[in-house]
Amino acid sequence: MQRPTVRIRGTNTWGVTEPLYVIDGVAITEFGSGSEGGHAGNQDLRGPLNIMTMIDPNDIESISILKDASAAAIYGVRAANGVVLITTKKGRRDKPSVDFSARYGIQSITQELNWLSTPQYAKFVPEIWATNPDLAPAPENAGRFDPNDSRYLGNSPTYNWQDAIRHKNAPTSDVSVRVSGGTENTDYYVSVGRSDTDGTLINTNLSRYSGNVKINTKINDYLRTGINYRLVSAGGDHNNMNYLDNVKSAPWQPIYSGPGIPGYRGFAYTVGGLQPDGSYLNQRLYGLGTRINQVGRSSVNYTEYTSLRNMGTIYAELTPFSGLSLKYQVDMDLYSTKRKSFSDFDASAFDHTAGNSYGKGGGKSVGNLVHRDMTNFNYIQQFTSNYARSFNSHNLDLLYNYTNQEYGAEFSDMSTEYVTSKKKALHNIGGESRFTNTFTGTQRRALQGHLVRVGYNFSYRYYLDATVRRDGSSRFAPENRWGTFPSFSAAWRMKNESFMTNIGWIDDFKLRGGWGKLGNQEVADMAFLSTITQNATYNFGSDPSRYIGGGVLGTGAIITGIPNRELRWEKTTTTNIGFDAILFRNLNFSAEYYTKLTDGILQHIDLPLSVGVLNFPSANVAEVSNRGVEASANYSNRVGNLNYSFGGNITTVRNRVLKTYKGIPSGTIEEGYPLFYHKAYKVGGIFQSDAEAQEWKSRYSDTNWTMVGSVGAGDFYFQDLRSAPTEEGTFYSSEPDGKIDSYDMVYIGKSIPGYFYGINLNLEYKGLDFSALFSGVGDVMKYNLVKANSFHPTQSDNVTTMVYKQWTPENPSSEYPRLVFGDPNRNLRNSDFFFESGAYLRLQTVQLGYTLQDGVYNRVNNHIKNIRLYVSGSNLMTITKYTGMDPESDIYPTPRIFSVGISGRF
Amino acid sequence: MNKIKYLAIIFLAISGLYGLNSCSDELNVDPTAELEGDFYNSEQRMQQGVGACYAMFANLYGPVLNDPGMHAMFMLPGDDISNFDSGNAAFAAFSGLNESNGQVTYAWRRYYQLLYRCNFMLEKLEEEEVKALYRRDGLWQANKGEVLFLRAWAYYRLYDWFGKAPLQDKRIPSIGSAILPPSEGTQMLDKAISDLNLAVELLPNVNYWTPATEKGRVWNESAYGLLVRAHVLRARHTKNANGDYAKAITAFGKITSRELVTFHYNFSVHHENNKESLFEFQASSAPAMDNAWLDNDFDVNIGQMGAQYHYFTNHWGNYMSGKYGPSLKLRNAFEDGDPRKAETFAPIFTNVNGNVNVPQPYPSWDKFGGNQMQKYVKPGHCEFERDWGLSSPNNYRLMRYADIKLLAAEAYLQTNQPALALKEVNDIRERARRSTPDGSISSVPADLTAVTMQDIMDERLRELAGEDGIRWTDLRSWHRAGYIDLSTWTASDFGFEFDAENFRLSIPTHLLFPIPKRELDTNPLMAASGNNPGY
Repeated sequence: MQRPTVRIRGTNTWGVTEPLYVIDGVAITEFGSGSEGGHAGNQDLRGPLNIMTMIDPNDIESISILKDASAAAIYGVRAANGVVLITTKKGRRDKPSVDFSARYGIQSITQELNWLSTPQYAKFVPEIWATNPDLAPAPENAGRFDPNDSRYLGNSPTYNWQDAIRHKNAPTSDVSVRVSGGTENTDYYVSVGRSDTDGTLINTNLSRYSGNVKINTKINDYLRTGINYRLVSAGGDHNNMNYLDNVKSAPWQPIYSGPGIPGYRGFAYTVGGLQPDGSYLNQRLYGLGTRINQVGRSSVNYTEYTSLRNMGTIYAELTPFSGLSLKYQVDMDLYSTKRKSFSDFDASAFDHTAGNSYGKGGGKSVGNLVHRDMTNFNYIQQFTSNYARSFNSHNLDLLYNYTNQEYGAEFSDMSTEYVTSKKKALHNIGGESRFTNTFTGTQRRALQGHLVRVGYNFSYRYYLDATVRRDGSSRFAPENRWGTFPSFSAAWRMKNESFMTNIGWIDDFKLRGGWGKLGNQEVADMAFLSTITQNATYNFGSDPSRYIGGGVLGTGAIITGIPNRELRWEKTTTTNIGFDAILFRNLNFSAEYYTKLTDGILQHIDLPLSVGVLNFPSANVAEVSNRGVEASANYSNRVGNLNYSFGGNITTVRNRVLKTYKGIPSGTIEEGYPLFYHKAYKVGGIFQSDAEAQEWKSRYSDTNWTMVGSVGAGDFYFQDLRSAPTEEGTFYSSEPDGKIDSYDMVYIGKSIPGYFYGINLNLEYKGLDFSALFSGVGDVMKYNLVKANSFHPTQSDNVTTMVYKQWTPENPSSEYPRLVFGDPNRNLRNSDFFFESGAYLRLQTVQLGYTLQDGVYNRVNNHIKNIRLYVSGSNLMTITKYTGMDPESDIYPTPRIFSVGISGRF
Repeated sequence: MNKIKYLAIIFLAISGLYGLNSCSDELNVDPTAELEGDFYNSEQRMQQGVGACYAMFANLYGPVLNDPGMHAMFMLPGDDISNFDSGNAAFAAFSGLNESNGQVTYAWRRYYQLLYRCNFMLEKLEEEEVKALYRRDGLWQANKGEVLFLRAWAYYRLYDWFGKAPLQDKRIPSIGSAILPPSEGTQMLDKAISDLNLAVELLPNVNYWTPATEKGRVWNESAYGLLVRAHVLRARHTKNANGDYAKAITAFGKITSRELVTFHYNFSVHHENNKESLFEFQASSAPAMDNAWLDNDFDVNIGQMGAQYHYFTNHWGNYMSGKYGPSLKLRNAFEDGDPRKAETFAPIFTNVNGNVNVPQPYPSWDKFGGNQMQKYVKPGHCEFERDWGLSSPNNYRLMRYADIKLLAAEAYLQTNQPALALKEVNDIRERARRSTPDGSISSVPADLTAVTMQDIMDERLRELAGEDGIRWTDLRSWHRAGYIDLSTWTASDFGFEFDAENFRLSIPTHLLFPIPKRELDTNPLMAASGNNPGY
């Protein structure tokens, strides 16, 4: 389970960049998705279940993305990063109809790497040791690589961890039934769905039941009311998240137990574990390369999530006279997740870092149990009044909206070391209080906002919208709480103008533009208050009854940081201008230029370490700009019975940091550069001979070298590009100084892609339909995590055959340096050796479907209509130069999915 | 219709007003943590504030396996302790020691966090409402004295290691006042000395604190001890331009309740806070589990409270610090039969649980002549937590009377009182003679008949080897005083037994550690002043 990353038109800020998700008018909140998400403990509390999993995709009618300020203003309070607007289906005035759909698919991770086999590994490591005899091999490897030693492991088989951790052909299935219909006064929609997915890594799965009831009814001429209630229950096991981390074990480390291989429940131990004489051996059994046997541990222990989502909206709408409507709406979203996890003490020997657990729980326990409950709550009250009036050709629309939102989360965590049974059904927290531990926490937030919008159009040709928002947030000090955000947009449908009516090839043309401001309030809670934390522990006195050397525990109380009462709203100003056109009757074309300026970015200021605070304060100090062009085109036509359409879209982003706190660069946030750019050393080349190295050493020195004498043929040398600053207010100077040090780390490339694009193709012939969707990304550099993990002078983790590309005297290379044990001269430092282009084009989806023709339905008296069968494939092909696992994610590569499905209507 | 219209507009107006005025104080949500203004409302809570300053020592001397920690920085430079192999080159060989070094950055960060806490408490202690809270006689003075002492401890360390570290002597209230200029000359050490002169008046004597619940808190003799150290350091750096040696002697004379105990009691978990001790890190074990990867501020139940000693053993928990042992020079420094020798290093090895003598199958200790350092890890006298056997509740002795006596000896010698210097040195040697395992008196080391500076320097090596970086502080400041010349020393003089070409000590560069790059990048005043010379 991994959350997707969604960015709309670049990255505005470096705090929280998630867009706002709105489902049927309810703005979604989730503990951990805001500014508190930066803290690792909070991400752990949030859990891995994506909140978007809690919606049955079969219920979705449409998803639109609101990108400009004017459109997003209605959701304004948290919409500065864009809005993903999800609208679900509702009933239409029609005879009741029943729709069903079912889908079954198979997913697999197909990305693989070429790890060394056991004989290759057993030969490689001693060769590495020989490159630096003064550095001692780890004691845990003593004898493991020496054929004459009894501890030698080079004759073991090669175990394939890459296959063992994957669940190949993991099934996924989905069924949903929807009943909808309507009369003149009422429409209704009821849906029920179930979905089951096995993860592509073992011991991971998710099931979901969801239901939705939506009724809108008109009580009389003045009053309408409606309810929309969604109930989703989901749950699953979550044991594995990181593919790359779990396949790096030494190839001779067994996965399953067997004769001569100690283990538990069929899986191999990594340490000696509990011995018959009662002692616990924590020595790794297979050398330093022994890693946690995650296959075993995730199969024996469990971590189970159960989530329940109650989302509901009730509204009453009053229409006292035509044109005026007054609506009062209450929304509620309660999302609670329970996590139950159990660690069997017998499974601690799968993990050499677990230590001896048998003494816990007074020595009578079999495991460790943790229950965690997290409830997200979100209550919104909205009042909207809308007046629309037309006279002559003028159309006027006035809107006023008031929103009051209270949201937050409550969590509790209970754990016990005293568990007497290994059966999941019997697991509850209890036992003696000295073995149990509990803590709870709360997060409380509140928002209020007012919106006034005036919309005007003249005979559907000239449009003008103006909006003003005023928002208040609980996160700022009372004197800075409120912000005002105006916006407006205008459009001109030029086709209806006299000078356009004669241009035959233009069927419709609309010119549009807009400008607006929106606010972002994602800053840590209580950042404007000076809070005390009581976590620092100390002890004085002596109390030998506890244990030797112990004393009386005290909890120290200190302030966490420096408060800042000046904090205020972060503002994003968006300007866009563009046009939509229909040309030649069949070509839809639209293009837009946008520029977004975010200022007053709530940034954790990097204060000097000589301040000494635990948490750095936040302030509104920075400015970032994103601008670019968006264009899309789509052509559809027919040839005989074949309907076809194809199209594409592209978005470009140019991201720049304009200002930071006092111009001080903070990591890779620096004025004049894109946000989070890649900064590293630049490789100059590889010494091909010792003489060449000596000559270079006479001119340059490198402060990273720890064994100067050994620098020679096969080592990298780096470029000397910068030096210490010479002018006041600068942080480096662009003059080389003969010294390679951290000043010589420079811009290597961007991490935010310069452009995103997609291509789609649709064909339809009689009942057959075919569609294909490509998506791609370009102009981006990516850190090759696979290269970093697999090209190094290992004496522990396995590496890939990439190590054979290293420089050797027999096989000199100009690209890969030599591998020296301990890398004393830092050939493998952070340099452009590890970065490469992350551009790719991926065949995202291909689908072939067949809709049964009318003739078939006659046989069932037309009770069933519109049956469509389809097969589809996802992620079938990727074109990329990137040599890592997957240009989107190296740690959890995108799986390939094949599915078949059917949908129909009664 | 019109009536309805009229009613509707009224309704609209009312709800509009309701909306506009309603509960904009609903935006005042209750904070989920206590606020500074309300928190310090009792004497007990003020003790918690002072305790937080002491708590920072866990981050200095604990394992801190998720951060670089700074054990190599304390132990390796100098000639008493060597690294097990050619690794840790930055501190063992001064090779690749640059401003991006993680341990240097860590040390800087932690000492400044200690300063921030102390300055915060000093500001709080001066508030009238806070002063009114105190009931116990002398406690307010004791608290102020404790905080001044701890602050002076940080000043001493920062000055010694970094030279021009910014002087933070007040609480930093806002972002605008966060940029501090580098200090100049001995400014930081001067401030430490003036703080300590205040502290000795405020701190109570050793009997004030209740032993069962408060043993470990500093008292006036602790401040006198640190004052001796600070004066001697300044004397060495300024060639005694301010009569520092005489002032050191005066401070030394005020320490009256301390005496020299059996040598190995100073490293034993059974004899913590003994009569020789002046200041110790009160190591302990967190209530639920002492997690070696989470620092002391993480939370109450698992944030670490113990000390790390496994750089002296073969425990896997030393993978961040490295493995250290006695240098060749240290092994040759003792006379045969000196009882301290076997308590400093010996062919006795600990296992994970620390209390059983385990023969080591690995040839690893051959590099140290088959010896393992024994301080804090000697079987029978050490203790480790029960989950991984990693961190130790054995207190780290930060200042003991023997150290102060030898500093006084140096002061006496440099102020032409060789007889008094000789007495101090002979006291140390006499204690060594009676520190045998069975209680008998050894004949070695015999009393000296006359004492020279070299004798004092050698005695300090024997007495204080491998303790809290004292040796490296001594070597560098003796060089600056002119008693020795480090630029003539070879690699093996420093205990570096590998390829001498990789030993890159450079005087005067390595008399100081580099200012961390993170400070230079964020502090324009420091950036303008540049790094320490040579970096």
